[in-house]
Amino acid sequence: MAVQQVHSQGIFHGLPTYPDDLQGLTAIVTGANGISGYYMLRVLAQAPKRWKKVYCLSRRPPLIEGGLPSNAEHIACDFLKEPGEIAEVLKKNGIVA
Amino acid sequence: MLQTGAKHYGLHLGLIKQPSQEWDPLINIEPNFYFYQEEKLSAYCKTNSVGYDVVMPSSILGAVPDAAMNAAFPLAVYCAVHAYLKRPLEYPGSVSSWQMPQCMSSSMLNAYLEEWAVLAPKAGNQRFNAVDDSLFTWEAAWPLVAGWYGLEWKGPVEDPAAYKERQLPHNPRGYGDKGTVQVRAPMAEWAKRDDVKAAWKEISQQYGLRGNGELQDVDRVFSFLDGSLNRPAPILLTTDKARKLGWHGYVDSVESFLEVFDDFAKIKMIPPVPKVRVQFL
Repeated sequence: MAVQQVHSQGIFHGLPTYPDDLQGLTAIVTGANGISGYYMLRVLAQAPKRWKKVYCLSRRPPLIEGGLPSNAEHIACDFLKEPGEIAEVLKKNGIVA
Repeated sequence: MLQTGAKHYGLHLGLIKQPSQEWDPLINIEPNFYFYQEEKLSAYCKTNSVGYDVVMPSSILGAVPDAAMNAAFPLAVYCAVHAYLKRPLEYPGSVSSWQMPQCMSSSMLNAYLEEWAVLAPKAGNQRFNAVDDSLFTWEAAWPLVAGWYGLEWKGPVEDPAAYKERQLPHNPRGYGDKGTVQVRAPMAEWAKRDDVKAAWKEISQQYGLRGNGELQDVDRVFSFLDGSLNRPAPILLTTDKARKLGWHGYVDSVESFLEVFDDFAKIKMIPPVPKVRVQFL
């Protein structure tokens, strides 16, 4: 018999729970200002032990009341530039995920 | 994690197979950049021995200052102006659209699903639909939304002569008639009315809203809402696949709409929601 634990967060229900030892992960979120990226950032910010580092790549920094969450860092990046230029930005900022 | 969307299923082209399931054949009537993105990502991942997922939301509910496609913002403006002008909240769509079931995809829930898809061992290298798992029609939601603003509401106008009919361009499902859309009162036209513009200017001043009292990009922003209010066919994305793999996320889509409206008010894009009558199941 497979047993699962789910939890609620505000109006959201049936959300997954992850093992405590799942920690220290890194994520890159593109379009963190946008309707999807912004919420991705919020979700990952809820679990700073699990998501040790969240790189937000967008032209402009996310507009968040109170500033970026502590586990997030904004790097200015324009995805309409040439791949080589984008790669330079990632390399220069040591972005690995 | 690549997020594409329900246009993967071709719902923007015409009537599609119901419901939309992740294994449905790709619709290639017109080029679709989602398919191109998936191809590139798949090839990259194969070369680099890394997994990927594709997540496909339907109509995204979220509050940000600028979004290419946002149904909640124009609806909130519609409500706020009707409250200001003390007019009943009139549903502009047809009788059939009033009852049309359509999945909503709250952005917060989509993000929870995407985190899960990346972390759950069995969820790798899959496509997943992302929806609230909450049955939604305007018939059920409209009266509740009107209640938040303390407004009476009016359902669809029944006289067919009041509607302009437009045939959909293609027939992705490959059988039967091409669908038609009935439109009585396009939202973009509503937003350009003098009384509406004047009301919004007043409201903006009163509440210190962004945008200098003027609605921006009216055609783009308001016509997107038409796509939801004037639905020719259901939008049904199944959650069978994700559920079997252990995803059980859920939100009441109407509750989600209210939270998004509140979030819009917090970032000064709409006035505060009066919340005169708030009730959820």
